[in-house]
Amino acid sequence: MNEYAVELRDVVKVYGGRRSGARAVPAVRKVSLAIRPGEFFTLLGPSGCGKTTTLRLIAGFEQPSAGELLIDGRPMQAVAPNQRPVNTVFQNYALFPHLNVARNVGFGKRVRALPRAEQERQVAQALELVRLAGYGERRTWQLSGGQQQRVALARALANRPSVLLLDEPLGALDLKLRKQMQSELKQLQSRVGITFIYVTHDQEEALTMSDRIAVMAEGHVLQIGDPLTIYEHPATRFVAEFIGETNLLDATVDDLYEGLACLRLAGQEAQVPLNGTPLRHGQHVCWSVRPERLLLLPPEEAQSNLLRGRLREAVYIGTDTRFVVELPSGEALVARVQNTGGAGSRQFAPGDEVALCWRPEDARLLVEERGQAQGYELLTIDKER
Amino acid sequence: MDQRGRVLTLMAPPTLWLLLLFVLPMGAMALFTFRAGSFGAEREIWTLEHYRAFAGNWPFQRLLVRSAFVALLTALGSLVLAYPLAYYLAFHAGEGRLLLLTLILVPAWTSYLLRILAWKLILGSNGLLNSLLISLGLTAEGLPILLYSPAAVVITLIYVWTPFTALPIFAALQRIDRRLLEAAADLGHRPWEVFLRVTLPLSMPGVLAGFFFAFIPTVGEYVTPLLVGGARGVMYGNLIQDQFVRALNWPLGALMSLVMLVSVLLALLLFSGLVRQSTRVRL
Amino acid sequence: MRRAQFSPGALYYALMAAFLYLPLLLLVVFSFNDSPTLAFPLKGFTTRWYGELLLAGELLAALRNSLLVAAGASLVATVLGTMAALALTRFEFPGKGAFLALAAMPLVIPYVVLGVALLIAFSQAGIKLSLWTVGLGHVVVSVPYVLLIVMARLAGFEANLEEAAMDLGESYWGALRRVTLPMAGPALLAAYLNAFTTSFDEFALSFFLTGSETTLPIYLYSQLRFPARLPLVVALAALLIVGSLLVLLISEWLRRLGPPSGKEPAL
Repeated sequence: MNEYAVELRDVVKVYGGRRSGARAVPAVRKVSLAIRPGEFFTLLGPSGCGKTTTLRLIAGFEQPSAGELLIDGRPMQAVAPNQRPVNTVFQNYALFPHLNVARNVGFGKRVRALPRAEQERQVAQALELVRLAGYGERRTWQLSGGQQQRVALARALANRPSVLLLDEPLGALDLKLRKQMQSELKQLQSRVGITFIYVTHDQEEALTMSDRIAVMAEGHVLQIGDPLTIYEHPATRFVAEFIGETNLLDATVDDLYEGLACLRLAGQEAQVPLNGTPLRHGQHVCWSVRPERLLLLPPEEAQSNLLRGRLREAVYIGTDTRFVVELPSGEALVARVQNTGGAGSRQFAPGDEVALCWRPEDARLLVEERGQAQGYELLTIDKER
Repeated sequence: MDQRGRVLTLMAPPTLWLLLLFVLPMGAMALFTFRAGSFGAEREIWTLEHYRAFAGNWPFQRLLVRSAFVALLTALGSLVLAYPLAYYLAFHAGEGRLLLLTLILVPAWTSYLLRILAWKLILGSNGLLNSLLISLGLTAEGLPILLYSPAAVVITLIYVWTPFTALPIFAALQRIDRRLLEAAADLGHRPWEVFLRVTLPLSMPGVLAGFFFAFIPTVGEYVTPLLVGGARGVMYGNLIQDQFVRALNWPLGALMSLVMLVSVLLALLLFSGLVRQSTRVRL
Repeated sequence: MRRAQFSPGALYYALMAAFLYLPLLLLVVFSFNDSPTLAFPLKGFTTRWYGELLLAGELLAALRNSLLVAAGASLVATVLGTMAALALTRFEFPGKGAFLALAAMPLVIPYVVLGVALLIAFSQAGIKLSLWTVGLGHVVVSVPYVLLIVMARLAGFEANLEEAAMDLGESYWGALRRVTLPMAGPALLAAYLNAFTTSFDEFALSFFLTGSETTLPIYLYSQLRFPARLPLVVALAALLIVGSLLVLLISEWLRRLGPPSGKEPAL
């Protein structure tokens, strides 16, 4: 078994160009990924970011314009899709309507290569895995969306791929069903043990199911990491904004001394500990704190490291209360406070003067830098803080 | 095999076929107009004499114009008959409209020759219509004018074309958003006004399609005139056929055919231009 | 719907339908008429004309020719049309529009022009007129219909079924064989039947391209000169009409058949 199940090295995919006369459109720009065997790896990003194209490159439906693609350590960029040890679960399921469920599931070449009795066993096993045992004789159009999706899953798994590719498989399902299927998929993957490469635009879905996530935008991979890292330590402004909710303020470095940076942000001052991050006087940075890491205090109780403002609205959402605080400079920040009840909880009303505090380690600084590739502005890593 | 290979494999035989058995023959026909004679040595001589002959042959040209006129009558006649049919199917027939449409298309798909034959038997002087009239006592001898006349040709062809004309009109009427009609009625228009100002203009592309469906093939008709047209109902197509069957003047026949083909193509261009114009809706 | 039965529109439809079917009905009625002339009043019921049909050797030969030509030409037309339809509905490539325009042309061009062009082409190529040349002509006029019918059916499928099959290990041609063609099966059959009836009934084009052996419509036409043979002709016509009506109805039924296109789940 190779160190990596799937590897992409500087893969580029460009559509159009000289031949078709249309302007060349890069869908995937120099993407490098190394996916480990048995991993649940997710490609996450908004529509048009290149995640589906990347998946199709791995499946073999598209050929890379440049770069290398390895599966199980072997170069595969020139190999036809039907020769690759990968199988795909399509967004629209792509079930064959002229075959019943059992024949759909048993369609794969590797299944058909087995003796008849063995084929039937594999099909039954696959159906059981997706909790559709006994559905073999049904016609595909008689099934609900969720059931069809599970047949598609069974069909792909029955063919014993090394890697399973899933292209936004839960997109067409309603919320409750989607959540149920998310946990089912995760359990399935642990049971079967093969590598799953999952594509979605739903960041909550990605955070729930993945071992590691690659966040993509405009054909680039912005950050790769496990859900905790992606959430707590976003590498770029885009990642910070795309994953969960966050507060962002532009700030300037006013002063630097003894491991602290004094920032001027929103017309106020705040201090942020440096941790070896090289900053210069006057440098423009982006300050970021998640809403749940902001504490709301009456102004008189607050110490340093705070921002003052006026409470604009307080929305009760059952588990939390969402506060929107308007700063004198005009920006609005969001704080989420859990409704734990009890003695410590405070009451605030819209119009009150409040202070927002945060622990030093909860603040992130995102430093802007111009990236060179294709003039794309890359907001790079925040050097720990 | 990659995508290009697949496309080539799939498209090569049909394209080759189209080239060899459609494009090439058209080219051969065009070339043949310059040959001196139909067979043997005469074939090898190149000349423009047939062009001159045709250009100077007024009766031939007049027959082309008359055939176009017959085609015009036929197309208009089938339009008049087909439109109410399509209208009924599109607006009043409810769920069964496709079935009803199929029911009137199916006889139109049976043998063209046999249907003309049926009309020949109906319209003949000893035919069904006349003998019916005689047996009912309406006339003594029957009406000889029915058969072997341009009228017979027009009637027969209207019979042939009406279902095919109804089809595009039906499709166009179906596509009209009903809410437009409701809006017009809501704004105070009476039913016939709604029809004239909304329905009819919006159905124009279908009407034009139906018209040309009937018009273009009819210009070149020869079978119907052969069976029911007689001497007075001769059309341009018969003349062409004559060059190959009797007069054996192939180059002239090819030229006449070419002239008709070019006219037809021009008519098609006119048609697509008209359709594009009519779809710029002016309500 | 009950109200509509007596509306002017429905009445008009009924009249038009009657108008369309009446001549055919008359032919059938008169094929059983016990009289050598076609005139009213009817003289009595007989099936002797049909009996005589069976004995007419030339007629049976022409029938056989027509069946052979139709079967063969339709097969070729169906194969060619299906190949083109597969490429046109699933792939992008330059010249699609041009091909479609060209392929659709035989639908609008007068058959006289087509007949003349093919006749000249065959003559120039040194090909003698025969059932083969008739068959070739029939393929040319049948392909547009096949194309339309099959394209309509293929467009109704999910576009990535072939991709799914290839993902599961099939080659493209294997995917066609195991997925696309079986799914399009009824439409292919409908296209074949459509081409068959077109070829079987074809006269205008065949007239130019026939050699020494004739097809049934050509034979029919040649018999019109003999008034004595008229009742036979009528009987034959009646048979052919009823036959093609049946075939056409079956073809239409087939065209609407087949598994649902697989686009939406039932629930």
